[in-house]
Amino acid sequence: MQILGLSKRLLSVGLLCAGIGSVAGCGGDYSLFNVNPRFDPSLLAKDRDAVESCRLYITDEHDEKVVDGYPLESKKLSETTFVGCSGGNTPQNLGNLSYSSARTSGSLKFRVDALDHNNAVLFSGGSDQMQVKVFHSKSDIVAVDFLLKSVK
Amino acid sequence: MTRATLRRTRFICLGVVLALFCSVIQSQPVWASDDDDETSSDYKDPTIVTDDSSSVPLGVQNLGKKDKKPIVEPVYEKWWFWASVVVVAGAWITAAVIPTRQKAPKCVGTDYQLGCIGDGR
Repeated sequence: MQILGLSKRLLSVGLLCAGIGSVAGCGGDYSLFNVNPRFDPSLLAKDRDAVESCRLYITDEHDEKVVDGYPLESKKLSETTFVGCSGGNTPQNLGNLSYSSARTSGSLKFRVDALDHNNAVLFSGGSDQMQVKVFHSKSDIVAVDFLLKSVK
Repeated sequence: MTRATLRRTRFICLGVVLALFCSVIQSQPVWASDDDDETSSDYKDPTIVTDDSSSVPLGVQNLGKKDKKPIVEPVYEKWWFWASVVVVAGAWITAAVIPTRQKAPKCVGTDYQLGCIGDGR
């Protein structure tokens, strides 16, 4: 009976563990990044004319790929306003993109490459390692601003 | 810590619960112990031959035959056994069915001109 009593106590501990585990699994568990790449303002519009496409790369703190070449496609916001990259229509401000991660710790590094029609990198720019912040309110959105500069 | 890591941790925890539950069941004997046999008053030393001994001494006649005793207080008649079954099964189903993590809200409006990507949605 003593063994049985001990087992009952073990069972209670186990059930408590299950309860805590279940509760720990709930809650807000994502992070948001507002990625806003821009071309170096010192670059002229004609410099950007050779840009055909832009790609976004994200790596984690272990330098492992998280996003591998997401295309920042051109979008027409109005008659005169464009965002994203396309031949002859690449603005200085590429526009912003929301990146959401299921990570709740660690850090991410963002990079954008601007490519010509041969997929050669003309301009590139990136951020530092940005710390992941669990999202609770809008103030937790991590701003990721960086400039693309000529690689030559 | 990623969502997958948390999910794995939770399943390990539930596995521990199941193991503990199994240990409870194992600690309950299904058959009564035979240890009591030697203290029985019917016990006779087979090596002692008395006046009324037959060709097979009484003590040896039933040697090797072990009568199984009926189940005494089987575990499945305990209230806590079924309560534990319900709790463990409920926890397991909950873990498998209910989404464990909140996801980021969907991209709405024109806040993000290039759109929204990522595995948090």
